[in-house]
Amino acid sequence: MAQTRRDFLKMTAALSAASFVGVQLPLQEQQLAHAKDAEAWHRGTCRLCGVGCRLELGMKDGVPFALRGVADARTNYGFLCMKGMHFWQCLGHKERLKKPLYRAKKSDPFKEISWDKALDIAASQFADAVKKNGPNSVAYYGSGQCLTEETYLFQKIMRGGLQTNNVDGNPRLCMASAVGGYLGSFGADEPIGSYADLEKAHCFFIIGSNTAEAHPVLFRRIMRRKLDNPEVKVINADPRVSQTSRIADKHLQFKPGTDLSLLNAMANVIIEEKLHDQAFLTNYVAFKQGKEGQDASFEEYAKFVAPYTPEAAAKTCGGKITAEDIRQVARWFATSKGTMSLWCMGINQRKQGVWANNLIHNLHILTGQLLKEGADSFSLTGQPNACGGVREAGGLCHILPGHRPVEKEKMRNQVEEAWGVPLGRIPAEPGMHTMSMFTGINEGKIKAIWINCTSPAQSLPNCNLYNKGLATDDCFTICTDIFKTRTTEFANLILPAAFHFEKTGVYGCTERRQQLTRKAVKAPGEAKPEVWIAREWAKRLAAKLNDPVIAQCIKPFEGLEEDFALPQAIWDEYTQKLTKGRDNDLRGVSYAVLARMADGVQWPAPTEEFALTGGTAKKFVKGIDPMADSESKNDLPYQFYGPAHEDRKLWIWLRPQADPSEIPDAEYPFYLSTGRIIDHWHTMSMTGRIPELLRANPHAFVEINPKDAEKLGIKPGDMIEITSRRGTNVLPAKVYEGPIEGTVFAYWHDQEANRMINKVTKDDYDPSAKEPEFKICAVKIKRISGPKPLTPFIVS
Amino acid sequence: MKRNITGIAHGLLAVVLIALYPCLVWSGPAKSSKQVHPELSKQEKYIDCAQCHTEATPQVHQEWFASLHGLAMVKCYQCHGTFETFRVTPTRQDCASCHENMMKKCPQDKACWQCHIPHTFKTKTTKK
Repeated sequence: MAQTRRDFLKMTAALSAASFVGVQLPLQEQQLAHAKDAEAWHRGTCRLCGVGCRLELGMKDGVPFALRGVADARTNYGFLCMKGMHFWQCLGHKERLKKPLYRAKKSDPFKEISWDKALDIAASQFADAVKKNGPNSVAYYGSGQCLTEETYLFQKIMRGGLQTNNVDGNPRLCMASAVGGYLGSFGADEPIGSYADLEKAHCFFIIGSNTAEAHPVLFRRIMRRKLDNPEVKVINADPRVSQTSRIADKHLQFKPGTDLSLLNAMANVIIEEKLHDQAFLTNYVAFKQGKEGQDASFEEYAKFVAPYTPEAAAKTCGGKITAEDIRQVARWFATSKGTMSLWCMGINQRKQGVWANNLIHNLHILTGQLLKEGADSFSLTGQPNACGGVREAGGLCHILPGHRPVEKEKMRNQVEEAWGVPLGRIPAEPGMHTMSMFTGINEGKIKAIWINCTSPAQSLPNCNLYNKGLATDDCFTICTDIFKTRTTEFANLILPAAFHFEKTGVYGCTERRQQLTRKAVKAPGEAKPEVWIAREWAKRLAAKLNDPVIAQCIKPFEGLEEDFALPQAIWDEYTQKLTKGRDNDLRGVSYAVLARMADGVQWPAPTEEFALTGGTAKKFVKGIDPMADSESKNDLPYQFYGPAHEDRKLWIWLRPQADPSEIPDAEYPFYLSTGRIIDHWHTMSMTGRIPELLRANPHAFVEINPKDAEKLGIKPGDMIEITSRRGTNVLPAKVYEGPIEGTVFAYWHDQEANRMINKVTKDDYDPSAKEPEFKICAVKIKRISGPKPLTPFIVS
Repeated sequence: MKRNITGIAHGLLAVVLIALYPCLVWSGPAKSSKQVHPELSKQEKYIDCAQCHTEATPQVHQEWFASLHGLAMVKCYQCHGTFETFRVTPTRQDCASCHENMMKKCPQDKACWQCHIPHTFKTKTTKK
């Protein structure tokens, strides 16, 4: 007989009460699934988020049953979050895509077809589009979740084979501003330091990141550092009080979009109180201003930040922080033995995303809080291979493998020579970035697109607008994925892909660490690794376009079995031919080396001997980074050899406060911000299919400040309509002191049509990075009813 | 006010059930822990564990919230599973997902909770 909820409450009261008064519960032997019972534990890297936790997949009788952390991995020291613990359930999930599915028209039902036919259709559609409309009528839209080998091979076929740079990926939506910030400030992409700095830091400046939920395992390390060393300061700057704030000494709650003012005010305090590091500035720093990067001086910089007094910034920030708060955190930042800044989408997903990144770097350069233990300006990454695959291996429209700008002929020629294709084969013009790519679909410019391992129909800002184009039959749409998604609803051809641990390849996480995951499980049905799919597609493309250069692109990989030899050959080509002398030199990071390392290798690692030490924990430091020694130009201990700054200096930028592109007004009086919840990842196509994770947060909700709720007569659980100039959602209200007054906050994972918050968000983007401003837009909110029972929704 | 009454009621209930607890637990043959959690409707299963337990077992919830697991957002289901896999007493394997290295260092013949107090996770010799 079913028990009532009241019975359930009684029982849980009893059981829990018993446990805390010391009653010993019966220990049942069948509950003890010791490690020794498992047939095998297969080592790999977590499939979710950008931390790169090392873990092991447990298998019994050939069936996955668990995941556990690897204790000697320097990423996570054995710890996993709930997503890392549970994603094994995706491996044998009953809803996995197992056969290619096709429909000529998007209004038709899908039919199962053979791989041979599917690849033939994919090749015909791309070849026909190229013949009729030119190479730039086709596009590849990839993902920070693809293995490096997959991203590399697809972009090679697109650039070297089809002669288009229309190669981009979802890291454009999350990391492009960080790329622009690092290149602009340090002359080289990706962080200088490592997670190892977390245990050495004396001050944490966490801004625009709810680390506790988006990067739980790194948050645990920060938390541990703070708890073990109460004198360590934690500053959390965010318009929303979050779980991360629980460990903060000071939470700076500012009005959305005013943080540039806050950062400049901190610089002002540092200069006013002479807390800057003059020797560091003299030896290593240049000052820049304007769009073209005209030279400036320290005095001009000091004069520039002078109007950003703590009093003025406190007022700009909305009045929830005081001038003294700003002075206090500036002093903590400048005077600690090691300050580490951490940020994520709150800084990157902004109209001024690159500027915001620059201003954080400014504080580190100004104070010399870099290059020493516990000090770094450290951008957190959202996806497991946004860095390793997309940023480093050519997954963005303007960057070739090895951090090579596409517009530089010398860089293109290096790649063309490595590939054995004619010089001039790769177009000089950067391709379409994500937002222009999907605009191009709306405008009929893109006739065929391959969407790999991501769901733009849900994850693009203002997605209603872009889904109109995807819904038409004007653009032939191919999706490679493991489950159906909101995007496969717009597909003509769905190709079933092998999942993590069902194929072999490398992920490169936030701290420049490359880690190998080998195939341990057979993919279900006819699902195949993307490297096989890409190679077989290219083979047909070469025949249909009668183009031997396309055949040349895959010639080194012909005949190799797809589970190990093929990805290894692709990895070897990329690392050996295209990273030599580049700042991400990976020549020492062979599969053989990676197989020997508990936690992979950090680049640069030019030789196997050096890679076997773990690689470079801190870039640019002689004695730690071999390239700092080999590229040294003087006797100074730090050598900034990054490709973007010919003067080999760090640059402090004079960047002003600038408003977001949309601010509240009488019609749309609230700010909307969005973010991630700990139990779900991205568009929940994976986490929504895992009962533990789904039930923890079965649907999205909107957080409303109690003062705003009171004014509008909104009570917890009430159904709220949120409307922007672009779209509407209906979500239940969570009333609590999270978002600053005048701001509402919603989660973006929910697939249900009325709860997809990207129908509401704004698609204006940073003019330099082209990363959209998901984090800030103006909305109006209205209570439409009391609480209603809601059920989760997953596309099936 | 309603919340207070509910809280007092649960407090009294807890005292009574603690007294009766050995009888309740030992009254039948050993069964799988999966049978301990009561059945709920499909809709009720979409209520987060903590939402009920904040009310039903406030002290447990508070202990967890103040613990390292609470701070690090290690949630109920990570140790206790969900409805189909629910276990009152987490297994060593549950702990091993994160604490595999401790499995070798800790006594092999004891369950983790015998040394680490459930929900506070302090070791029984830890003072702080």
